[in-house]
Amino acid sequence: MAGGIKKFVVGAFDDEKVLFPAVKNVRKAGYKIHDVYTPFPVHGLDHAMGLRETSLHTAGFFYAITGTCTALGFMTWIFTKDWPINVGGKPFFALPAWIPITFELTVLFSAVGMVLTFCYLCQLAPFVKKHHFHPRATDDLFIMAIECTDKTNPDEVQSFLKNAGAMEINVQEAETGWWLGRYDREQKLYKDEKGY
Amino acid sequence: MNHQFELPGSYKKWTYGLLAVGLIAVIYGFIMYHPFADPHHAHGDHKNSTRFWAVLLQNSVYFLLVVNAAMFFLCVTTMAMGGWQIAFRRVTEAISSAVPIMGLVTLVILMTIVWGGRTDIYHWLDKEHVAHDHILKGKAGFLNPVFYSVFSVVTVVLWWLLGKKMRSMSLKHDEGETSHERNKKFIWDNTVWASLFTVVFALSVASTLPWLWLMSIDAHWYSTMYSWYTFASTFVAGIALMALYVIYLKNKGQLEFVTEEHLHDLGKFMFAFSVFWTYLWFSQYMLIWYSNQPEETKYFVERIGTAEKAGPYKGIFFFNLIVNFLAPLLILMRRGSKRNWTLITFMAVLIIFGHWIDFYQMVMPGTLKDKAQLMPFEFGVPCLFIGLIMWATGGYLSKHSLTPRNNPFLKESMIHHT
Amino acid sequence: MTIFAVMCAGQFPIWHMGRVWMAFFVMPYPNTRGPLWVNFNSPLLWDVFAISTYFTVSLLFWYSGLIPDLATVRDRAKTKFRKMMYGVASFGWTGSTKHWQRHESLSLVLAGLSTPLVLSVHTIVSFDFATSVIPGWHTTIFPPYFVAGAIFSGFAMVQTLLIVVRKVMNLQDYITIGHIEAMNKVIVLTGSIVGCAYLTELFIAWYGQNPYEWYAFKENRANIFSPYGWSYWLMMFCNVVSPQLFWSRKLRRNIAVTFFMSIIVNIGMWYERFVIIVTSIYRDFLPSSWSNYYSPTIWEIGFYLGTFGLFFTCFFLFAKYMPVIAVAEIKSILKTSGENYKVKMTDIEKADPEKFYQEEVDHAHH
Repeated sequence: MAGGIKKFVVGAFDDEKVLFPAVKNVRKAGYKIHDVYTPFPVHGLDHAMGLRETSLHTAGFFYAITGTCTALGFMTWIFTKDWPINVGGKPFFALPAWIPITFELTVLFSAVGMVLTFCYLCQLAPFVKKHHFHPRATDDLFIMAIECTDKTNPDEVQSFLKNAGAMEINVQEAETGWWLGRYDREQKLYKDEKGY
Repeated sequence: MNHQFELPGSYKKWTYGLLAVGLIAVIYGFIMYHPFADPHHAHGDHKNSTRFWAVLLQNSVYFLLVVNAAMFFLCVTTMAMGGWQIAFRRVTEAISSAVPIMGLVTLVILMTIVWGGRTDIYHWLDKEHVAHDHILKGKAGFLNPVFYSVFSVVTVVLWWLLGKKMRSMSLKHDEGETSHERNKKFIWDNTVWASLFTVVFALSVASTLPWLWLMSIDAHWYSTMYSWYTFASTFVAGIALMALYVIYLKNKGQLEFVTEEHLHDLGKFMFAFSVFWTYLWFSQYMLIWYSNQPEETKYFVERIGTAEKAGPYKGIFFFNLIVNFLAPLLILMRRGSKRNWTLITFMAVLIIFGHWIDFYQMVMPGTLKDKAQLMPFEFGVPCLFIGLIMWATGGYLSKHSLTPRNNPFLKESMIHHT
Repeated sequence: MTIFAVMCAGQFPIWHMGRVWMAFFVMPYPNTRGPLWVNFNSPLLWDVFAISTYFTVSLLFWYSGLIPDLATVRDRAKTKFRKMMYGVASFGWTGSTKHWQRHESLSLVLAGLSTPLVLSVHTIVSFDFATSVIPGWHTTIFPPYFVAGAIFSGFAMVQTLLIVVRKVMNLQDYITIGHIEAMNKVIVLTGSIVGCAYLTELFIAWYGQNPYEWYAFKENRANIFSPYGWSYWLMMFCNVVSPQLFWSRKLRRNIAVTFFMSIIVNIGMWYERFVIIVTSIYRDFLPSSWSNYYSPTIWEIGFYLGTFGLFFTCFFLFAKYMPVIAVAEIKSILKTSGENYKVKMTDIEKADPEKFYQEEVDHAHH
């Protein structure tokens, strides 16, 4: 899925203490932060970047209710309408005996639904290839990518980032979407990256 | 910052008011319900005599176990090296300081029932009946007045002594300046005494006591789950009571260090143990329903009845599930609601009331059969016990600093973040 | 470990069917044998749902947690082949803040779902026994008691593997004695809960005054001279008595003792199931059908060893090719844990609480 090719100014930070004020200042200056790539979840960074809360868990709740209703509805239909069986003299509508399966399906629907939604929203799947702004983004650096619009002057952004404490700054043209690709072909090995 | 709480006049007014209402209810019952009438002829006016004792039994045991749950909470969090609860630790201590007075009242009631030969409450007390009931005869080694009394007294005394030790250690640590060594010793002593209390608790509330005090009302019936079920019921109510006090004091400008984070965790406890209670409820109910053996299903038949004939407690039985399961599950599931002071107050009251109803349906069917009522008397008597709890707790809160200032975990509690 | 163990566990019902080629009969669809459905009222079918759900959800939870770590491995891979394989496995993870935010939410909810799911799996296993009317099986405390037992033996099993992996892979800096001690605390706690349940069962068997129930407990189990009495007492000793050693801090922090105890607990919990199953049914209601002393056949031993093989093969493959430590999670707490953090704490510990509060909390809010 093509997201289009855009131009970015990329800055690498090595400390959260520098990153947070940098994010704040970059936003204040009116630049558009495309994304910040971090090796681990940095608490509060989403708020600092002005991202809205995810509603993934709300989706999970609705998947769960779907599971509950499916299980109860299905078993009720089967054992009271489709093919009632007398099991041990219990009523056809044997609710207590259905609670375990209802619970399992609730959890199953919720978990599977949430993971699929998560993968869809984040565009994650095997064989998916995306542009990586920095090879150390999953290792030990925080990588900030600022999108250049028509009005942005890349040189100005670069010096801004330098003042904000970025240790490595460059300009990259990158595809923002994903494509099917192979990491061994399109990405250099760690040891072949410059500076390692 | 002043950590000394002065009881406001309104608190005292409510305390004495509730005590008065409760006392009036008990005295009214004492005069009108013939509490010392011969239980063998428990009908007509004598049914009221059963009612008097059944209501006292339900309320005394319930509220005693609820306040004792506070000490259990304190001990397990101590053993788990928990830090977050220190900001309101004194509240927990204060609630647990009601155990001696509540224990005494409960013991007086229980002893009067047992030694007064209230066979309408515990029909295993009826010697003639037991002689030709081979099941009760077999149980006589456990269900007899002497064992009942000795075990009850020993347990309550142990709760009282161990709880007192826990509280006095905590108060003593407030005095003077502390040091690393002193803190270490404090934590060590605390852990040792907390584990002792927990062991006693496991041998009493989590096993023997509910069998003796409550399960033996339905003397033929048995369920291995019963004690854990009782524990879950009173523990969640105990947490709710703690939350209520925390919110009350916070409203009065006390407990400076308690924040939404602490409230959130109390809310999580209320949510989790409500679900746990339901889990135990379902396991007990479903297994008995499924295997369908008359000596076991009897318990539920007396309550909800059968497919042909609805039992007298059917409404209460399902109300119990709605209040104690559905409401906490749906309302407390959201993060926002666990951080909402008003909503937690409402839920805490609901949970305490819900489990009171749970105890009501545990005690009444075996004693009053289908003659149980929910009249002013039933709601008046709990006022006495709530008043007692408020009196003891308020006394402790106003006598001691609300913040254990030298507690080594206090700072951890201040910066607690869920 | 969970996943591999569930794989092992999941195959047993299939073997137990005898005719394994008919295993698909448990699937809930109106089938070719007439539009007849499976029996939703049967605990065995609940088990089918429970185990398959448990497997699926554990797998999702496990793999979704692995994705960021696999991406780290991908980006640091030393050969082209590894880069390709981990590239496929990491689903194109970039570390975007929005993705992390969703990932955190997902992990939280999956953990929240997995907790009651663990309870439900063991509960439903206990229902397999407890819904019946067999003496020694039908008891209401079974569900929470199986759950406590599962946590107990689960922690012991993790302890067994963890101590070996920690040594072999030099993870002493990540898995500290503190972690091992904390796990031992859980073991003594759950061991005592299980002990409480054993005694409750025994007591209520007497209290219930049901002659069959009491016979199963008194003669088939507690009587050490009965054919299987030894197994009951072995179980009691391994699960209830021996974990009490862990009240001692010194023993909790001793690796050799911990390893030894974890094996003892594993044996004990294996015997718990042995006691429940064998001692309850080798003598049934008809004394004439009381069976002989049971000893496993070569096939049974084969199945048993086979599960060990399957489990360890999977586990070793995992340990070799996948990150055994949650890399991203460790990174996120690096600055707030460990020795260098502890040094910083000394001043804070000495500080006056009131002052500390004003500086740390009030300040942070404004």
